[in-house]
Amino acid sequence: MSNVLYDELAIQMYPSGLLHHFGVNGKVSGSIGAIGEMQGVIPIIHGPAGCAFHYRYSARRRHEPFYNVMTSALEQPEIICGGEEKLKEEIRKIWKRYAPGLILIVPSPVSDILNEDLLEVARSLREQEGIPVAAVKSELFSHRDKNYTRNRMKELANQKITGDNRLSTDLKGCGFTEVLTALVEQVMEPCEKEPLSINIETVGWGSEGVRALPEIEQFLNRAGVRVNTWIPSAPLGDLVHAPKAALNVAKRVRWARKMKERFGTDFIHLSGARYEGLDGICTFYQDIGDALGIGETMAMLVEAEKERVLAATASMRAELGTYRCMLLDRGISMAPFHLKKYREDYGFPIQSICLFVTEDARVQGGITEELLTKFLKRVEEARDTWAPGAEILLNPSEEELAGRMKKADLILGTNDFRYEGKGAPLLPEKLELLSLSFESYVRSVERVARHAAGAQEKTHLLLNQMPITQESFPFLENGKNECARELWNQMWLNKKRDEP
Amino acid sequence: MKKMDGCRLFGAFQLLGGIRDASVLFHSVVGCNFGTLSCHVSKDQSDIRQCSTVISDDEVIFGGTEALEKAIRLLNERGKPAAIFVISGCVSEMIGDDIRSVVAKPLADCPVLHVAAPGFDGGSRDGYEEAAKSLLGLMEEPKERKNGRFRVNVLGPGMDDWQITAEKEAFRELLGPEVELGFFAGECTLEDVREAAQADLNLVFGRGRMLAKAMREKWGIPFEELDYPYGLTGADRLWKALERHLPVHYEQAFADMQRRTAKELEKVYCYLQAFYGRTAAIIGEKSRAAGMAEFLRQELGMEIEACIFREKDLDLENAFDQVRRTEPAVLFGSTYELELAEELGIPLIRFDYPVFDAVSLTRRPYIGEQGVLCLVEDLIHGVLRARYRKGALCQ
Repeated sequence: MSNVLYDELAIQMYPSGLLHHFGVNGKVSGSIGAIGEMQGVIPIIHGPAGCAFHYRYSARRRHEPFYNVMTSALEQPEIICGGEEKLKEEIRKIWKRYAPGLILIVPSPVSDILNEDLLEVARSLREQEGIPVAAVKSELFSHRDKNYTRNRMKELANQKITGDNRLSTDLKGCGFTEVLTALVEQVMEPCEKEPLSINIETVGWGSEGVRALPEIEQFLNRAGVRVNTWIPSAPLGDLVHAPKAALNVAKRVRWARKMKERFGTDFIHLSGARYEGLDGICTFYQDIGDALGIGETMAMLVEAEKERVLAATASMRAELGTYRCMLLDRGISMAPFHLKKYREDYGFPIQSICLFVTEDARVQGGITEELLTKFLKRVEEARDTWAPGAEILLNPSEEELAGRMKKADLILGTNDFRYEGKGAPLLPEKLELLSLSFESYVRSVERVARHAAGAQEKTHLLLNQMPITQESFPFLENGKNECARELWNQMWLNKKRDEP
Repeated sequence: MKKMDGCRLFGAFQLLGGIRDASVLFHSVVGCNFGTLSCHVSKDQSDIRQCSTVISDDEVIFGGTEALEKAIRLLNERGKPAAIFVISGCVSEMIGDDIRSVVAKPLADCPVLHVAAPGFDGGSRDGYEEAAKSLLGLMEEPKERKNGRFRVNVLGPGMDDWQITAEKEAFRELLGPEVELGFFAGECTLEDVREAAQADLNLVFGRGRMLAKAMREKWGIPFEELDYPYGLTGADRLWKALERHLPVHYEQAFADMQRRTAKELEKVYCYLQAFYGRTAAIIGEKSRAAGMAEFLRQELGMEIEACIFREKDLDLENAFDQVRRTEPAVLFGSTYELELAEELGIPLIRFDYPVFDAVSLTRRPYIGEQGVLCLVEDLIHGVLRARYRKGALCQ
């Protein structure tokens, strides 16, 4: 059994957030991350040797390097004359030494500029020499689509919170997805479909996913649904036969669209607020059931399971219902669903809602006045439903905040330790760890109830002796790092304009 | 297939990122910036002075000099750095941006220098050498010093070395009262660079030879190339080099260090006996690996089964094969060598770049008097905390 809370700790020990505050990773990173999930696949980065050396670490795998990253080690002669022959030569060596199930060529910005025909290299080695090779195709140069976050925010702002809360925004140029697309186009084989089987994409489930995914599988089995393949965390042979499944459950949708085109496999996209909280868990299973044509069977199972977990958590939720709570939320786009979660899933009554939208968040998310107004309206609607009478404050002053905190028993919705020791204990949001299994919900309520009961103010945090401000949280504002951040924002988001 | 050495751009950054009042601007794609950001993870997360011009499709088609100009201006206005180092990567070099013309423009109130570091044109050592050479133009003519002390510069260390602050202090202590530490590569200020030509001697540990040579040609400053000074033997090599060039004497210092170190290590003498005659393998940058081998062999009495230098441009798998053909009880290397250590079921002692799974808050160097103790301590911990062999079969 995996120790999920240790896993969470270990994950956070890699300061991905810090690095992303000052840059984004190249899409090679996502590609290597995806290949690192597969069993029996070796990547070769078609670029200078240094890329492979360093991407072994910076490959979205936190502190765990992906050791077996190969390189075509392009040098000056290949920059002038092209590197396809050298790439072939290196692939032959890899085949001879390791004989992997598949060698996957990952393009680099260098090979993209050289306009190397990697698909042809792969095809010729496959057909003429029998070496199992495929090539990842670059959708975009160097990095993912930089407008993704802003487009997502726009779509969210325009959704009604009582609507279906599906998101259609997808991420173009993501290295992870490019690898999955290469699998779909070059590695997967047509198979006879199994009506009640599905593939589940394994990216982005968090540590709780390690426990939740087997539980999800067990629940689906009860409905007669079989998990065909975990994509991409599976042996190569399973990935090849992924088209057997009747349905894909995708986190990143582009590869799933491609699979629908090539193999007719339908998909559901796990994105947006549709799958938040206990209702989200029920919707998740129901969507799968409906897509597989067993909606009624699934509905009965879901209803029974929902009743069971609500009964199992009833006394804890009743206890949590006795606290007077304040919601502190730095993510205005999802705040309505946080309100719903705390009230409906945990039973907390929310008395006041403090929303923080920093200037930096506005720049990153492209949150204009118009979008902000729309987001606020959504929060008001959510308040009327799940916390009637609760006061909403946008970017309250320290005094305003202190006044509300004195009236609260518990602060929810944030990991912002700066509010520790200000009048009420804070229940760090990171303790919730809610995934899409019913068991995960029960564990989450139990954990929240346990920590709420023992919640204490922490008045001497070392972190609170550091220059971390409302605007800079969770990063230092020390006169050194701000310039790097500002410059990054300028060059990443506003290179063509003079002012942010 | 799998190379042992890092990128030229990283090598340049290891040196220039260590000038703590200057900023680095990567004229390159985002991946180069993000990758080098990871150098801060184990070193100093509070001091980030780098950015990227974010070369994208537009720059590939229309050229990136406009973005570079904008970034230099912004960096100058907002960051007020003492200097801006533009490090260009593969893409800007391939698209033929005229970076030299841009940095020659009066865009900033501080010096703006360009170091070309495309990964297709060499490894991290080349990048470091190129970056070091670029510093020559910033150095001022030697002036007369009034404190009566001799001065030495240290070339070779990089800013990503998680122990660098402690090692700098250990270097200072090793030099003693008569010799002061001047420019210390990887952890310094621009002022240190400017005053570097006032040194009486350059000590080169693996990297920085080109700069040392140029400084000898320009100002007659001699240089010595040394293995990294691990242990008493390392300190002795360092001191003998100083004695060759300066009227200083370290015999007493050596004797004192030897005596005190031995006294401290008496507390773990049974462990030292266990190390005696045991085998070790080393993979690292030449100066560090050779220095470590000497320490382990001469002072702990260990048998070095394999000592592999990264500079040899070996395929990593072939290097691993060399180690696999031997029977080391302990492996010395970088975090990347954990793969081999795990395969062999032996402890890994991290001492060479890259190390990203350790931090140094308590100023624990691996060189100097304190360094010997820290190194032995980590070696003991490495062995004790690795898997245990129990049962009759192993008695």
